[in-house]
Amino acid sequence: MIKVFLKKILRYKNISFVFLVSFSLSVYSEEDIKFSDRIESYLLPNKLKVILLEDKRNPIVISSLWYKVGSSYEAKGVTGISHILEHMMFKGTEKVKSGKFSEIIKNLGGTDNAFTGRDFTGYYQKVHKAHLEECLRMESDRMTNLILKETDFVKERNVVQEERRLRVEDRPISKAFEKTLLQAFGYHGYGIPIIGTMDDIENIKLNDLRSWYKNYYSPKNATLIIAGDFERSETKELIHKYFGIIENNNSIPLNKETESHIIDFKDIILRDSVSNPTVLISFIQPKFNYNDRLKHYKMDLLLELIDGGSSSRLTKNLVDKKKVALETFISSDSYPIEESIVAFGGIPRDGVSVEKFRDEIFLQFKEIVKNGITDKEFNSLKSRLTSNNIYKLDSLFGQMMQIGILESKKIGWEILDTYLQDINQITKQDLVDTAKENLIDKEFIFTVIHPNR
Amino acid sequence: MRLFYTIFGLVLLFYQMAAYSYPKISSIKSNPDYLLITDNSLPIIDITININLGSRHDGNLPGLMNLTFESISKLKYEDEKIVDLFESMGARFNYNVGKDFSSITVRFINNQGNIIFISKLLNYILTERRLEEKDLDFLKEKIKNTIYSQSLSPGPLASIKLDEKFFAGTGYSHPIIGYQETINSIKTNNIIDQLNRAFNKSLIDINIVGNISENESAHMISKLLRNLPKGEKINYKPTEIKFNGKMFLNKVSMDTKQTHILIFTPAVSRTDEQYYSFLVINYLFGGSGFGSKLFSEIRQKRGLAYSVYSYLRPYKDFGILAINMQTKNENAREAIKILKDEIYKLKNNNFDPEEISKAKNSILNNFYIRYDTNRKMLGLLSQINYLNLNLDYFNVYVNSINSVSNESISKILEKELFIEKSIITAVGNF
Repeated sequence: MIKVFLKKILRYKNISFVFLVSFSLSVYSEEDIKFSDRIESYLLPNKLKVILLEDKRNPIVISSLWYKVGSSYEAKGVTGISHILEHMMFKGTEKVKSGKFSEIIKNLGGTDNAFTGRDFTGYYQKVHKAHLEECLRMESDRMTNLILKETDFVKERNVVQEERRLRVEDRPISKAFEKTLLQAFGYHGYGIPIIGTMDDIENIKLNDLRSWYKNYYSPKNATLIIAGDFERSETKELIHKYFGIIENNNSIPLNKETESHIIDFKDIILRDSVSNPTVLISFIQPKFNYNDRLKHYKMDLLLELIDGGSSSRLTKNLVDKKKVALETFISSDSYPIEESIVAFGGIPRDGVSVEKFRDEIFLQFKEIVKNGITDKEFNSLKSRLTSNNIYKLDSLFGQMMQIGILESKKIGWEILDTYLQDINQITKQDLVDTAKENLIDKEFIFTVIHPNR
Repeated sequence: MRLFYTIFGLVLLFYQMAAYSYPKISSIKSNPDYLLITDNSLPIIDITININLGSRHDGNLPGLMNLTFESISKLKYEDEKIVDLFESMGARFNYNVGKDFSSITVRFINNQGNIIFISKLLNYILTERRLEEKDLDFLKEKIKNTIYSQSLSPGPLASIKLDEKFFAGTGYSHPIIGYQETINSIKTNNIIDQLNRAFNKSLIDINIVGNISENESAHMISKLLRNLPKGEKINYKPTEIKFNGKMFLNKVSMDTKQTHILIFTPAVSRTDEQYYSFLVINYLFGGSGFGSKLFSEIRQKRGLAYSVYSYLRPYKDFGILAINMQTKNENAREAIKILKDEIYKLKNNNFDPEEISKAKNSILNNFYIRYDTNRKMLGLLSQINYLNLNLDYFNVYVNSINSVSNESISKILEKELFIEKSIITAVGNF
């Protein structure tokens, strides 16, 4: 099943319609767009959180169940276990035999899938609204009745190993990110590869999966999100019928390695199958803290300014003007609940050394601090963020993901509706100060992939 | 239980047809080249300008059309990169070159100022003919780096190598981005000539989806095509593919952990009336994940791959049934053997009527889910426009799937699936 590598997934957060008062919105008004006007959220007696998001553009509904567990909950020896369990969740119960879950959804004309991130594991089905009950019935069934068999596990382990070869082993940039995160954080939090190491995938036992399932797959640790065109009272009855009866498991304390890890900022120099040298400059990004959210938003806006688009600093100056880079990029996570990294990277042109490229990137940071930001680029930046936020409404799936990620990270979807007010407080000078505070004279990991040739 | 699902599916099909009305596709001011779906549920407009010129028209300069479109990224309007101007108003601007046609796409928020400005910028792109030598040199270096990078990556390389063999002697055989040596040969005047060739009214289709009326669309189109020459249509010649007449393995060695396997088997074209039978065949064979033949044999039974699937590549003059998978090098030979066995089994039509009926219901019930965003609708309009499909597309599709039968499937497998002409390409270390 698919996996979410949390890179740019939440680069643009929700901004409501206040910016767009000048637009001629014949159908939508600001009130229509706010999530709070379309969401009903409540807890079942067993503590399962339910979120109902209405969107009646199409007669479609997405049923998704999110568990608050992902790779950041893992430890050395069981890295990748959340992801393997995600695969095994399709191996059946007494009522729905192995491999049949997706077939049933498919035969209804729907689609289904699952994903694992650093802080969550999620499952969803997208169907005609007439079939919501079938989704709820089967999803609630596998929340408690999953049958884990050795024969299935042996084969699925091979599948996961193939997935790792596909996503990581034959991809130099993925390997470089994996090494950088491991050096930064070790086998803790966001240092742990979502897919797990090959050794751990090989050595995880069926009993480990059973414990993981029992510990984390309980109503109190989950969020059910129903998004789309549904009848509210009927849907609530169905949810109560299928999920209300599920009891919580008694969690078993996990034997997790507790020794601390000291961040190591030494350079990482690799050789691999790349055409040109590829560079990553990784800074430590602090955990997201709701009360200190403006600080994080400032960083988000700064990153957008630095390399969020074609008119951003790195592309404009290093690719277009100075022509020292063939391309540049940024990788970050907007809502890290553990320490993470913000990486600036790119491919220097032939004849430009990796050190020269690194220095050019730092020159751009210094330039922001020294000469500030123009009104033009600041307005362009806000215009992009505002529009992107509206474009997201075209996708029901995208909206569901946004809510699910925030809920699983225990931040809460409500933050989406206050985001605009928050970022409206941010000034050009704030971005300058943020650059000074976070990117100047700060330690970083310098990762280089040199071509094999 | 199986019977239950069949009946259940049929009932649901009836329910869905009664409950759902498909979007209306209309020709803007009766011009069949300009299509519109109005959707007022969001204040968004999506527009695609398709140019019926793709990499297969590159002639003796493979990569020419792609490099020509890349030059748009360097185009300036009043000393500002045109791409940056789109960004400054929050619009998303993209361009893409395919084998058959190329496209420019813009997504923006609907207001009068935006429509006027976007039209002006698009008109500028279509009429301006300027490219500085230093910009061309930079673009060439960037593309050559991408070409080299693709040659180091097993997935893209498998695709390139298979195209070269399968389409040998046709315009489809070379990579869209060209080769190192052909990129070196492209000069500024080649780009300007290609811009003149591409940007004329005769080669342009326009598709619009979103919060815009027919009159507004017509006005926008007239603005963005202003002063554009009428030009001439390309003299269309159907593509003929010459096959060896025997299935063979094209092995490409590379130091990787996995072998990437890609297979092309000639099948029917998108405009062939038998196409819908092939859609059902593909669904059952490998196009629908869990429960499909390939997924069951390769992943569920043996755990040989994470990803294994088949898909149709429907062109105007021909079609391809494509199969794709990756597996560790040690398993590559076994996987290729299983895939070959499955292709031969397919030819014998081992599908039972119940399976076919379930597949048809599933495809029909999935139809509206596949087009649930404006962006997906825009992609569909492009396909309808390029292939001159019926504007009553949704109903034609439903009726055509309904008319697929066990007999039509047997017939097409017997007469239109040329497995002896399949080519297998495998890139890896096996």
